[in-house]
Amino acid sequence: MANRFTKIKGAILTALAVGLGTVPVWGSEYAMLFFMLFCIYLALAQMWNLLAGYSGLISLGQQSFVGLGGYTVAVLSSYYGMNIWLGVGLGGVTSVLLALFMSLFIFRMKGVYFAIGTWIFAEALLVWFSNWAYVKYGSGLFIKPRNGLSMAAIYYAALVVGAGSVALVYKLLRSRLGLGLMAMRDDAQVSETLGVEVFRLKLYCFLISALVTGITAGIFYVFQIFIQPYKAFAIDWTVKLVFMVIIGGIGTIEGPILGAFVYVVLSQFLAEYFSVSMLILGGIAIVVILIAPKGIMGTLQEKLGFELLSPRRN
Amino acid sequence: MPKEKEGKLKGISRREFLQKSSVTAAAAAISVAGLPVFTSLAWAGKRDHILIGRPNPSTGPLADFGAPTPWVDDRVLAKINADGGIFIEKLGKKLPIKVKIMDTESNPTKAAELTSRLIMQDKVDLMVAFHTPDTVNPVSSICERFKMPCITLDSPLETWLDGGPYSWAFHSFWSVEKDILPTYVGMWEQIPTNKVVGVLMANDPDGVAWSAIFKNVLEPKGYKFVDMGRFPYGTQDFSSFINAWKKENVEIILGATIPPDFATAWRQCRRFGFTPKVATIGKAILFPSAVGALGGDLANGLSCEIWWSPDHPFKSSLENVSAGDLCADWMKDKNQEWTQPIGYKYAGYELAADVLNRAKSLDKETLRKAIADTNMDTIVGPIKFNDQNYCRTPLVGGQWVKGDKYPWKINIVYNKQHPEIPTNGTFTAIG
Amino acid sequence: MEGLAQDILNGLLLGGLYAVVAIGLSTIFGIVRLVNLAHGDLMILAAYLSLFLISAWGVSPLVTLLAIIPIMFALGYGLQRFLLNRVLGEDLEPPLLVAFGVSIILQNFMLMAFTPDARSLMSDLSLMTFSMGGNLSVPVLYLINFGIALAVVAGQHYFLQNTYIGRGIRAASDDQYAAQLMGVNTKHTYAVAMGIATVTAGVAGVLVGMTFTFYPHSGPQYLIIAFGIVVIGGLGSMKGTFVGGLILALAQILGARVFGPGYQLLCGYVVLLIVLAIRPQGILGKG
Repeated sequence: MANRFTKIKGAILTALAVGLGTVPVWGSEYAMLFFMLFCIYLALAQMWNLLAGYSGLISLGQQSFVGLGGYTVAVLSSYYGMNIWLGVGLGGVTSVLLALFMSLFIFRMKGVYFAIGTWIFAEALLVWFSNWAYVKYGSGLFIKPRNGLSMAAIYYAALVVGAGSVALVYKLLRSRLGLGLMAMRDDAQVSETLGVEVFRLKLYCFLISALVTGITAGIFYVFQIFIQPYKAFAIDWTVKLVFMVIIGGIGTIEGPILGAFVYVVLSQFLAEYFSVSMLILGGIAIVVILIAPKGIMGTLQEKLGFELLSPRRN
Repeated sequence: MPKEKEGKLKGISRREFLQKSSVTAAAAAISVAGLPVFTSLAWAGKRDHILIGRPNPSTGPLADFGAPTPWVDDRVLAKINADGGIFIEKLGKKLPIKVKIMDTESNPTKAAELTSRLIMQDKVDLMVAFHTPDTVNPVSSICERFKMPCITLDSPLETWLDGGPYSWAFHSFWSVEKDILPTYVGMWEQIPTNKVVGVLMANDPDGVAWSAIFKNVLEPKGYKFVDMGRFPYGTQDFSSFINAWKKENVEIILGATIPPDFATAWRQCRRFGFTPKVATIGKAILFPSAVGALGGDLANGLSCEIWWSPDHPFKSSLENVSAGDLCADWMKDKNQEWTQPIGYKYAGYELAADVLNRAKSLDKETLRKAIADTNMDTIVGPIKFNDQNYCRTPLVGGQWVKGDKYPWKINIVYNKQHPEIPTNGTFTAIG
Repeated sequence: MEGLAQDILNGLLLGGLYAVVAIGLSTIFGIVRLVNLAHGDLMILAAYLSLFLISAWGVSPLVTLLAIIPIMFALGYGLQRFLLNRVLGEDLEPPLLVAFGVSIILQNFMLMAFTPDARSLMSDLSLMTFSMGGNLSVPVLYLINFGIALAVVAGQHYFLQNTYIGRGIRAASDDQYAAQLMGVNTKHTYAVAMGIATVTAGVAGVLVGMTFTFYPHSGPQYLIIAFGIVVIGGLGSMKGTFVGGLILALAQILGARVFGPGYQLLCGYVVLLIVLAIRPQGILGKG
């Protein structure tokens, strides 16, 4: 029976892959915009989930890497005329370096202090960038690629990051790192005595999430053309990620996929009524936390009776 | 034991994979249902009207700039569409103009997003935008990237040029160095001061550009600047600025801020007992509502730039009204005092109508050329774009005093650069 | 250095205001172990309510407090009793995330109801100044804020030490089960504590609204200030909250003096991060 299902599901998956892979062919520019946004939020949500759902690190400060990744691309391409994709990659590198620096402070903090510490770091970066003459203070920078850039190219970059993030998390959880994470989630003290270095595991996840977030943000800002500290380093990013992952299902791989999709549909549909969409999102998230704390996917998995890798145990 | 665990891992992962595929299958189903939305838009283009995109700061700190919309827009469009609209050669008939106004919430990032949507989803034919670099700059850059002809006004030239060079975006307004500076200094030199200037400027494009230009030009001329640095929007505490100004005996305050921040700063000046002889502020005190909201008599004697007023001797190209007539109509309809953006919004549409009439087409390249060839008189003055796609418009200096019909009114007190615009008051010190 | 005296005076007075901002968060964190991420937004909601009452009744902002205090109490009580109590447990994520959700809902609700325009609670008091000789002037408003701050902090301290409900709250926070055995209805008690915290947030909101301009999204910046004070001053200590407020305000104002006004917030954040990293229980906190 598993085999029969595998075939059907495999077929659907392939159709999906082909579909997503050829959007520039059959879709309008708006379709590319839609799926590009989906892939970008998917990548960001996967990373937040990696931290909160699997590593026990609630980060309210992913926007630090979003802003830094975006500004890296902006500065390198506008001031130094660097190739845009190289700039995006370097955005990931600077984010990892930032994460290393941040860890010196915030990995000394536990629980809710950690969460707020990540947030404060992001706010500090916001103030720093808005006062920095090098990046033109708060007026922001424009990203001007040396050669023209087509919407299709940006879309494919986003697709790579989106699909890549899912694959990355999947592989990660199946690796030794993943085993360690599961053990750590189950019982930090016991696993420590068994030799699992809790600190190092958390740090790796933190660095990986910073890398992917930085790169993804770079691509996002290549599309946006314009970056400003007030929005780039704003808590808004975390708000969206938290909601996406909670609604989709924290601690599952599918959760962020569904969550990102719901978010993009909702926000595009209500684009002219942004506050309404955020209000609805907030309301749904609260309802989900109260009724189905594992999110849609998590509850589905639970009800269908599989014994899973899911680290949440309530 | 580890081996057994690994085996279990692999088995479960496969199931999880199945779960994943069923989810993505569901997602696929939803998107397939929405497919027509995505693809049909690719073939849209046959419309029965001309669509102009209009990102506008209707809410937020810049709301005062955006307030005359939609009164002005509706009025001008009614005029243009009165006899059917614009003649399009290819279709052999006249098409009316419709405008899609979207609220940027005074936020440049939102302005950028809205512009992308207007270009990609609504597929507008022409983009028109106004009101400070926070609106104009992102709109121009995005139009430039996506090759959309764009007409903008009402934002200082230097900050617009920063985002250039442009081939698709065209702009009209005054320059900080060539217009604002001589006007401000012209006002200052009408009364005796000690030439010590306190700088109150935000960290936005205006603040950064203005402070640099003023210091570069005036320091050699004997002015001393007390500059504590640029501050972010929403700063709550200006006590360190005020302390420094008191210490250095500042008599002139030079500012460029958004209205709410100036309100906070100016009130704090009063609270801490600091009253300079002159306060000339760009952008923040252009509107009777902003000035009135300061409270008490804080508005008395504040000076700023005037780029349009009922006394400007210009007429509309679309109907037989002068600047004064337009203001009178506004005050009659809305029962509010006139504001400067009214004229510029009107002029934006005059330009759009003129361009469309000459181009007789909706082809983007044709429109672009038509804009470049513009040479007309509008209600804000003559407009002709140079080879860098911009045009300078006239500027005079003004000062707020107590009004008769309304609590506050602004007098034109300095017009040396443009004597064709008459003065109706003299510049005095505050207090 | 002349300006220094004025700066220090400003810092001390501002510190009082900050203490009122923080006290609600400190109470809830200390008692219910919940970081109310909606704290700042509740403050701003009170400011908007006051704005509404001012235009409806034409009174001064301080008078609106008479109505705002009961409204905020009811709001806080309801929030805790019907929403937050349900997610309190061992995991720290659900209450944090629910509070996050409430914060976002409040912000966007205020955005829709009141637009993103800047607002201020104006009164004659806001422009009055009081000269203290030399070059020192004190805005009357700052003095009022400080006075009210003292009253609120002292009042709450008295309440928790000397009334039956107050003792019940402290008992429930020390040991939930023991308190229940002694006949304290913990669900009700927690809700009362939240009600009190929300009341102080409301008072802080009105004071902030009178002193500064506010927007629908102004909440989070006060949340960070409140959290900073709680961390610096230490949990569960009234004195600590006051001291923390003074320290943070002085850091901001002196930081602005030394590095430039754009950096005023940054100085506060850096101080906060350092304290968080080195001594998370705060300067006057109980380890």
